[in-house]
Amino acid sequence: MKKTIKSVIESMLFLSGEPVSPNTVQGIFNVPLEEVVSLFDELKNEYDERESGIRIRKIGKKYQFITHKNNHDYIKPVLFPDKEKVLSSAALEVLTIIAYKGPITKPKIDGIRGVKSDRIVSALIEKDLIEEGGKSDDIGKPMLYKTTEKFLEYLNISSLDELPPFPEDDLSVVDSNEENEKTHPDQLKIDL
Amino acid sequence: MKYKISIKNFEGPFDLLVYLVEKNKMNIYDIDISQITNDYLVLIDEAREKGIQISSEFLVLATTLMEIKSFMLLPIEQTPEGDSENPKTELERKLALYKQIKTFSLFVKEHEHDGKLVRKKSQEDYVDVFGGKDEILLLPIDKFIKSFMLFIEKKKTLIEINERFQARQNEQETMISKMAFIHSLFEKSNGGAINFKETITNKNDPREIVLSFVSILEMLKEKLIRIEQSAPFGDIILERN
Repeated sequence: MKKTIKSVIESMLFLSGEPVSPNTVQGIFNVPLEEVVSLFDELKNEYDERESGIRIRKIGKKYQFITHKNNHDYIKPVLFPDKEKVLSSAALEVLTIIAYKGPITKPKIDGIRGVKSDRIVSALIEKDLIEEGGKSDDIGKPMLYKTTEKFLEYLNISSLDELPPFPEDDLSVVDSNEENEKTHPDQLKIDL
Repeated sequence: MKYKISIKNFEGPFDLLVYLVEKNKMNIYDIDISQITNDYLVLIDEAREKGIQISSEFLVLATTLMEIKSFMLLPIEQTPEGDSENPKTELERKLALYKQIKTFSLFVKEHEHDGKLVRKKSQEDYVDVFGGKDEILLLPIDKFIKSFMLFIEKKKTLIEINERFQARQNEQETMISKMAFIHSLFEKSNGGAINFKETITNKNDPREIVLSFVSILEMLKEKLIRIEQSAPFGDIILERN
C-alpha cells in the first residue's frame, strides 16, 4: 500500500507542476494525513540521496517538483525564452514589508516607506506574489495584504520562517491615523 | 570626494534621508537636524532647477524637517512621558524602521536570486485530454443579471433580424418561382392569354393567392405582361408582352 501511495504521489508531482497538497492524496487513500506527509518526505529524501536532477521542495504544506539548482546554467536550451526579470528595489521594499509585517494595510506600508505604494501593490498582486487577506479594524476598514504561496515559490523557501528574523520594533510610529488620535493635554474629553 | 546625486535615484524621502544620514556618518538615533535639513533642501532645490518633477512626499518631509528644526530652537520642556512628543525622535524611529526594511529587502533579493536557480514545470493544459475545466464566475449577482439580460437582449435582436431577413429571402424565392410558374403557363398556352385563376395552385391558401397577385404586379411593373379586367371582381386576364 505504502509503495502504491508513494508511486501515486510521484506521478501527481510530475503531472501537476504546481505544489501538491498531501490532503489531496489523503482524500484518495483512506490513510492518516501524517502518514501521507511522511511518504512525501520519504520521497523527497530519496530524490536528494540519489542526487537527482529533479528535487522535491516544500512550499508551505505542499510539495513540488523542481530542477536542481546546480543545473541552472545547463538547462537553458530547453527553457522557453525566459527573461530573468528581477523585482525593482521599490517592489522588494514593499514585498519585504508585507512578508515581515503582513497582513498589513496600504496606509501602513506607505507610512513605513514614506511614499505612496499603490502602483507597486497592484503590480505585486498582478504577479500573484501578494494577495488580499481580509480587512483591518482601522478607521475605514482598509484592506490587509499578505504574501502568497507563489511568493514562497519565488524565493524558493518553504515558509516565511526561513527569512532572517526581523528585530522587534514598534509599528505604531507609522500609524497614519496618529495625528487624529493624539489628544492635547488641555483638550476636553467628551464621552459620546 | 563629492558625489553627484539626484533625488531621481531615491525611492522616496525616507530613502534620501537615510542616505544623507549615512553620508554624514551620523547615528540614525542622533541626527544633526540642522545639517540634514540643509542638505535635504539643497537637493530639492537642485532638482527643481533642473525641472525634475518632485513628488509631494519629498516636500512634505521638507516641511517636517523645518518644523523639527524650529522645534529644536525652543527650550525643551521635560514632560513625565520623556521625549515621546519630540517630533525628532518620532522621525528617527521612522527612519530606523525604514532603514531596517531596506536592509532586509536585500535578504529578500538574495532569496529572489536563489529562487531563479530552480525551475518548476508549469501547469500543463489537459483540456485536450479531459475536456474543459469548469470555470467559476466571480461576479456580484446584480452585475451578472445585468450582463445576462444584455446578452439575451442582444440575442433577441439578432434572432429578429435573422428572421426578418429569412422571411424576406423566402418571399423573394417564392415570388421568383411563382413568376417562373406563370412563364411556364404562358409557354403552355403558346403565347395566348391566361386567366389569373390558373396561376393559383391552391385556392384555399390566402397566402398563395396574395403571392400570385404580387407576382403578376411585379411582372406588370417589369413590363413583361399586360393585365385586363373587364368588370369589377371579373376575371383577370394576363397576356404576354
